[in-house]
Amino acid sequence: MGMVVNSSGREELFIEAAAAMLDIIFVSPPKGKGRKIRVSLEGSDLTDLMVRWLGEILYLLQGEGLVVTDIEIEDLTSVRLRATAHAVPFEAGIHEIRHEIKAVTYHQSLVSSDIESWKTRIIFDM
Amino acid sequence: MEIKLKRIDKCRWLVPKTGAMRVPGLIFSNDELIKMLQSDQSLVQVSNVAALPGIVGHSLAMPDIHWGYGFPIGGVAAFDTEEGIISPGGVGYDINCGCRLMTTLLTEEDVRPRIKELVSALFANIPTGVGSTGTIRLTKAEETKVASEGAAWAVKKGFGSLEDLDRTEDGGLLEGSDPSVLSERAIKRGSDQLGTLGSGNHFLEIQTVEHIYDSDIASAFGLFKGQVTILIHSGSRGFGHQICDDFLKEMNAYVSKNSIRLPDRQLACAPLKSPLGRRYFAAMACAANYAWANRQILMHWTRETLLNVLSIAPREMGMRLLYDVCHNIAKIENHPLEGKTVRLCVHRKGATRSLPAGHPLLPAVYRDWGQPVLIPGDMGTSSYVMAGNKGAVTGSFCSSCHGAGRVLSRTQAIKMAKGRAIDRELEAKGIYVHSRGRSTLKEEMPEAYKDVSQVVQVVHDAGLARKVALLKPMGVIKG
Repeated sequence: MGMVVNSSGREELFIEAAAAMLDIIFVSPPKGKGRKIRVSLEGSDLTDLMVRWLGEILYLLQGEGLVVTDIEIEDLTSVRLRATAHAVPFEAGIHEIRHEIKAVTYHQSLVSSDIESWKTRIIFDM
Repeated sequence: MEIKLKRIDKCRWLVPKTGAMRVPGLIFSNDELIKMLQSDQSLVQVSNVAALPGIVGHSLAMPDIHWGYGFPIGGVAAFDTEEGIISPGGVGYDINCGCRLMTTLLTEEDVRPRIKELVSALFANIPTGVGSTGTIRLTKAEETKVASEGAAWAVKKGFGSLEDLDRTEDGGLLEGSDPSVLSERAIKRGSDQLGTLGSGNHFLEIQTVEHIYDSDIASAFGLFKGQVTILIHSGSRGFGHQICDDFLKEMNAYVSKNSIRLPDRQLACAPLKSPLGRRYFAAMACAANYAWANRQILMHWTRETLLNVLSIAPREMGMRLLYDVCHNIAKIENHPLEGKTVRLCVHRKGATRSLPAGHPLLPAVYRDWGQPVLIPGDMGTSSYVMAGNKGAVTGSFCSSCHGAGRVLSRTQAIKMAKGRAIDRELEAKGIYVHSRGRSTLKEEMPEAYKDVSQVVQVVHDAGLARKVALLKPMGVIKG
């Protein structure tokens, strides 16, 4: 399963891609501010950064049991991302899973832009 | 990109060497299965793999080939250990995802009347589903022992017997593991998932032997018509996924830094002899060992559950491990190539090792018959037991298919199953299914897979493995 996300800006693309992934995972993604988590990533380009970024959000769920509910991007270049994520604890009885995403793959991954918009294509291991 | 195929014989097609390909591709298939490949990108993936440094022979595809991430699923690729690469994408996320088949002395008549009770009890006793955690909690020290000792760790802890190790590929231990290379994240994710089945296409199935094709080999394998068998399909869980993820990121950075051009980032790789290549192999071996320990524990709990529900003695049930094979792995093996025996790093991603009779790596119990090759179909049709055959030595780096192979994506399957009750459809066919996931049964419905009988027939006709027995499902638990 994969997703294509379009956005008006580069920072927005990263925020909306994260939201789209959580929409795939959850029947109804949880809301709320929760605890703050600092995310700091480096990559070889924007596509690499996007895979790492979504992978980080997925790890917070799989490894730490935290569901990201809100994101503030503080710094985004073509090779670096700094953000603060807000997250609430995952509760199996409350947060119903729609699809399990096991990993964010690099397969056919892409971040591109034209004059008006930004776009990413990501394929997930389900 | 259009891939032109050249038919060689009844069950082999050549992908001629073009462009950046270093070797040709070779597809094992038949007239019907080969048509299915026109609608996905798996043939392009075969040619992409053929372009990787150090590949030898052919970029191979088994008849269950289908679209994967970077490497196709059902792909086999062997690389020179001096000049070649190793790739996490060539192994897959679920490192040592594999199958384990147990035989019993029970017959269908013993079990059929209790099948609902048995399936419910197995579902209650074996953790399944998304991110499922088990009753085992590993300290970091204990987890490194699992990663270093494999199935033997589980046997030492009382989950099964030493005989089981002899009936497990590589004795349930891939040499070369080094837990010191693992990330804290991998250690964390592995700490509570040992002894869990998982989700997706993982399952535990109670079956009956419906047909015997080769009575001599079946007898040597301990199989008889009407017998109850149990097949487990699981892997290294989040531990293996995290290792694959960690090293894909590192190898993508390596590829970028060294200006290596790849047609797909999921093909990221490093020279096997490089420090990064060696570290990945050591980490992958940890996950392979974790998976063998996992299936060993799942078998033990299955045995306990059946004994409790049926209220019989272990001797009466007579459960034995027939064999345990891995599907997603890279291994250093010796193979004949151009008149010499060479040491190669064989990547099997959705493929099963298949050793013929007489092969030195076989345990004594199977040396005269060939390695048991376990081929699960879908939960509505059948699975097969095969035995390794000579054709695999020269034809496929001792490899065979690993299952039916998907023909529908998960999304397509969910759409096709809309409005249908897959569990009730299966129950009408005498198959009782329990599943945890919201859409698992739809994603895994029988129509989502190719016809396993055709896949197995290609393998048989190509001489990679021979048909021994056909197993029909009676009860299934899924994540």
